[in-house]
Parts: sequence; C-alpha cells; structure tokens
Amino acid sequence: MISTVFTTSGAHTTDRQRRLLEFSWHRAGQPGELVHLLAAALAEPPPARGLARVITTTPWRHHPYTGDFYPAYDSAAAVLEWLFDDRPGGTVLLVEPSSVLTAPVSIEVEPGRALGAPWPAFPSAESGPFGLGSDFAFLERYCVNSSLPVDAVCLPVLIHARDLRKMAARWLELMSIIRAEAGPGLTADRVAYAVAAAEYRIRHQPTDLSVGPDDEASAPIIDYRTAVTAGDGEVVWNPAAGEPWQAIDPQRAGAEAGRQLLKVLRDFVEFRDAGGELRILKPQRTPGVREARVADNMVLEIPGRPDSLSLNPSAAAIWQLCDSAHSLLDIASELEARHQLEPGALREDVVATIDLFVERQAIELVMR
Amino acid sequence: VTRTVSIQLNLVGGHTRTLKLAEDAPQLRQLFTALADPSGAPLVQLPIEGGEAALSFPAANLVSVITEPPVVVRLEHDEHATTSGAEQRSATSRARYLVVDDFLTPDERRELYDWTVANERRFKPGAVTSDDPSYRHNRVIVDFGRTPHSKLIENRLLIYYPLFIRRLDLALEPLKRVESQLTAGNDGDYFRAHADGGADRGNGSRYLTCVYYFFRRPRGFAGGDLRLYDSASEGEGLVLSDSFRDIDAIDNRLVVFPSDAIHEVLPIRCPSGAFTDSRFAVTGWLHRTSDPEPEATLGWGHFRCGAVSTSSAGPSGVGGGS
Repeated sequence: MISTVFTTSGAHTTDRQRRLLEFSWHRAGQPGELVHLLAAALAEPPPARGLARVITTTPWRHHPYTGDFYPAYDSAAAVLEWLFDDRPGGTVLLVEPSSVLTAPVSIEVEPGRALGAPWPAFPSAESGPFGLGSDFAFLERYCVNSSLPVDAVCLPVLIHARDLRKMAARWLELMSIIRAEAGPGLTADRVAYAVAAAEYRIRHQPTDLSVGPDDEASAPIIDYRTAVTAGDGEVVWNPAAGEPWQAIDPQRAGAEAGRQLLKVLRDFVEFRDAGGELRILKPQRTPGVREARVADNMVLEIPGRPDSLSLNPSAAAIWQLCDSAHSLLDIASELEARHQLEPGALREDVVATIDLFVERQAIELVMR
Repeated sequence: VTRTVSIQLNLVGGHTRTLKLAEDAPQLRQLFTALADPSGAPLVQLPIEGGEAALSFPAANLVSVITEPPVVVRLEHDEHATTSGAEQRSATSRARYLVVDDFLTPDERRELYDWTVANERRFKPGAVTSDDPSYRHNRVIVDFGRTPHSKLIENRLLIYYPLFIRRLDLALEPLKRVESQLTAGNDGDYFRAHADGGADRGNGSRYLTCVYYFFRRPRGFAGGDLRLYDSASEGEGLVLSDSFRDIDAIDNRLVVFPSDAIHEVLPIRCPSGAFTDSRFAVTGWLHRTSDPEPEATLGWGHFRCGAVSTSSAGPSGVGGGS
C-alpha cells in the first residue's frame, strides 16, 4: 500500500496548487490513498471538497518554543502528527505541494531502504559533521555520531511508514536546532531530514523520482516551483502568476518535462471548467443510516449521533440520489432536468446540501 | 477564617509524617475517611512540600492521626449512611497513556546505556516521600537532569509535548521545567502503586510523566513492566481502581501518562544480578506553570517556556515569541 502525502500550511498555500496535485494524482492512476496534511488551526476552514483525505494538524510554522517563523516546520510536524495518530503502514510517497504526478509511482520500499530525489545542491564538504562542512560544525554538540554517511536526497521520497515514524520527531528537532544555531541562511528542512535519516540508519538511494519543468529527462513527478520556459528562455507558464490558470500549448515548452507539465495543466483546466471534483466524487451513504417520516419531512437517524437530521423535500430528493452511483454533478444535472432548470442552476444548492450530509456523517464522498 | 491544621500521621511500623492542611481541605476528610474505613479508599494521597511532591500510602497502613488544633470532621458515611464506599465512586476512568517506540536514535540509545553502566557508583537507593523503605526498591541518579543525556531526552520530549497533550486530552499549558531521574531496577526491585503529582496542582506541578526504557539486548531481566491503574473519583480525590493496564518495558520505548495517574513498577527478576543487566529507565516530568518565566530555557537551551498555539496567528504563552 502506498500513501501519497503532501502538506499545506492553511491559508499560506494556494488552493489551486492543491487541486492540481489532486487532479494529477487521479489522472496518473496513482495507487493507494492521497493524504493532505493541512497544518491549520481548527478555526480555519478546511479546503473545499477534494480528492485527498484531509487531516488537520497543529500548525508549527511559528515555532512554539522559539517563535521562529519557518513554514517548513509544518511539514515535519504534520507528518509526525499523522504518523502518530493514524499509525499507517506500507510505503509513504512524500511530495511537495508544488508537484504533479505524470505517471504512477508504484514502488513499495522495505524498512531501512528508502528512495529520494537527488539533491544536487547538497552542502557536501570534506570536513565537518556528516561531511556537511564547517557551516554545520554546531551539529557536533547535538549529534552523538556525526561520522554517519548522509544521503544527498530531498523530496519527493519513498519511505516505509515505520521508518518515517521513527525519524519524524528528530527531523523536526534538528530543523529547530539548525535554525536556532545558524539562522535562516541554510536549507534547514532538507539538511535536517537527511541527518535524521542518517541517524536512524535509513539509507536513501538517490532515484530519479522528480524533475523540474526545464529538465529534458522525464520522471513520474514534476516539481514546478520554477516557471516553464521555451527554448529561448521565454517564460511560457509562471505558476506564481495570478489566477485562474489557463491551458497553454504544451509544445511551447522547451523541455520534455515542461511539455508533460503543460499537458497536465491543460487537462486540469478542462477538468476544472467541467465541474472538477464534482464529476468524480460520489456520495455514499453511511451504513446504518435510517430514514423516517415526520409529517411531510424525511428524518435521518445517523449512527453514533444523538440528534437526527430533518430534510425538507429538496434535501430529501438529493438524499435519494446519494446512491454511490451518482456523482455530485450527476445529482445536480438530474434534478435540474427534473425541474426543467438551466444546467448549473442547482449546482450550488446540491453541493451545499451534500456538504451538510458529509458534516453530519450521513454520507462520505468516494471515488469509484 | 480558615485555620491551618498540623497533622501527624502515624503509620504501621512506627513511621510518622507531619504535614499541614487547611481546615476545610478535602484531603483532610479523605484522611479521616480512610482511617474509619480503609477498604473504602485503599490509597491515600496527600500533597506535601507545597504541592511539589505527594505522599501516598495504603489506607490500611494508617494507625492514627494527631491534629493540632483539634478538629472534628464529619465523615462521608455520616451523611450517606446507606451508601457504601464503592457506590460513592463515580464511573471508572480508563488509564490514559501513549507509547513511542524507537524514541532515541540507535547511537543515542547506545551512548546513554554506556554512560549509565560506567556511572554505576552514582546510583543511590531510591526513596519515597513517606520514607517508607518498603514502598520502593531500586536505585536512582537523582541529579541526572544535569547531564547532556538528560538534555537530549528533554529536547525530544518538548518536540512531542504538543502531540502528547492533544492525544491525552489535556490542556496545552506553558512549561516551567523538565525534571529527570535515572533509575536502575535489578533483581527483586519494584515500586508500589503511587502517583507522581496532581493535575489539580498550581504552579510548578508535574504534569506529564515520561518514562524512557533502555537496557541490554537480549534483556537480562524479566518483569519490571509498568502497571497503570484506572481511576475512580471519590469525593474530590482519585482512588485506585481494581482494573489496570500493563505496559511492556521495551528497549528504546517511551511511555507517557498524566502525572496524577496511579501506577506501579512490577517486580523485576534479574537472575544474574549484574548491573549491566538492569532495567534502566529515565523518568522525565514535564512541569507546567501558570506563571512562565520568559527567560527560562528548556532542553538544549534553544527552547523557552511557551505553548504551541492552536491558531495560526503565532506563538502563545509568555516567552514563546522570539
């Protein structure tokens, strides 16, 4: 089993990034579950329905003991919390939120043998703890064995859940130490990950899991933190530009990875404009939900809940179509046709009602 | 005006202990209830040293109580003559605890073990606040907190602290300090049922108890597991329940539970008797505070008292800011 996992920092990450990654995960036919770790306060609204299972975790971007603002703390803290709470098994594919999948990653790894994307800018040196050079000399004070070999890798990584659970706290701790000792100049999150993995003897074999948009090589994951450019250096697609993203001819990209990325983007735009996740997600009733009639209203009795949910005739009509076969878009279309309304006229009402059903645990949204 | 009462406890074996309680303190009533009916409240727990420690003993060991000035306490069964002690208890609360395996890296664990074995002479017999030698039998380094090894464990505990608190359904509060002790348990050693602190204490109380186990592999002992008792409330205190959970002492494992939980260390059997075959444990207590000192540092020294905010607006707690 493979869990593809990414972390976002509440309002600090754009929702379009999340949706593109979710879409690409679905498009690539990636096996297993997609887990979205949302480092956000409980008061913050969760993202609109998506294809990933959302797990809200405690935000750490303001370090609780030092006050240091560093969004990367969220990643390690969220992973730690998820692994501690959910106790998942199998392989974890940990990716950056600025990633898309162009092909499935179906390699399962054994404990102690992880794979990671090569990190060309790894601060390798002849001397210093872990061969990191004198900039990291302070690590001698906090690491028992600084002669361990460190693998020059970064996200995405494929790692066994048991290994990630072992090292996640140390990853977060080392990040805190590096930031406190060396300030913001060093890539604390990556170095901390590499050192924590070394300390727990979790070797990472550098593997071509990921490429950038201007790489000629191909890989199943593309990280688009940099823009897509044409052969002459002209920026073809800048992901940081304002919304909404629009389709761009893939042939305009100068490199193969860029063309692959623009194909994903083109398909995403088409998908988004045609209803997006509403086309895929199908409401499935929670087992044990009982229907009853009180006067003219339908009432749902939901297992494990002390209260019942009273439905007016419109909500009852939506409920009747929650049969695991109709997608959200199907339900809206069918009701619009039944009442001879314009296409799209009932979409918002249907979505709001479905969201209520989900919130009250009367249904869950599944992909089939 | 509420008077302060000086109380001398006379225990079996001639042991005595004097403490002071407010005249209307619920513990005073609990004490007299235990004296009148030891079966109703098998364990007595009283705060001592200003709430920094607890005195715990079996109610059956209480022989008499001398108070100065004299006090008259109306006992529970006077008011509820038809209600048995058992029926007065509320529903049993299940013991809450968390387990983290592979807590330290292999090299950290190995170095701690080597250091511990090399420092055998620093271990002294463990004691309890009641001075009852039969209550606890093991050896400890009480000033272990001054060592780098303790700092290493403290730092790791602080990383986990927000997670522990949430999972144990406790309030996220600023920390005052981390206290730690290193224990060696060998053949015949044990620690009878006790609690390390009280959640209802004020400033500086022990909040979470974190026990880190390490020992030679293959292990040279049997037993020594941690028994965590479920609790039942009686009056305003907690009493021992008949039910419990036993948690295996596994090498490189951390076990965490609220410091007011009643627990014991089951007897250890170590046929070789060799110190190197002992069951070693670092016990760390996270002390919470309602009055944090912004300059107090924790762990390696980078961390200051504070608490993780559950909002994204930034750190909370005094001293949490940069």
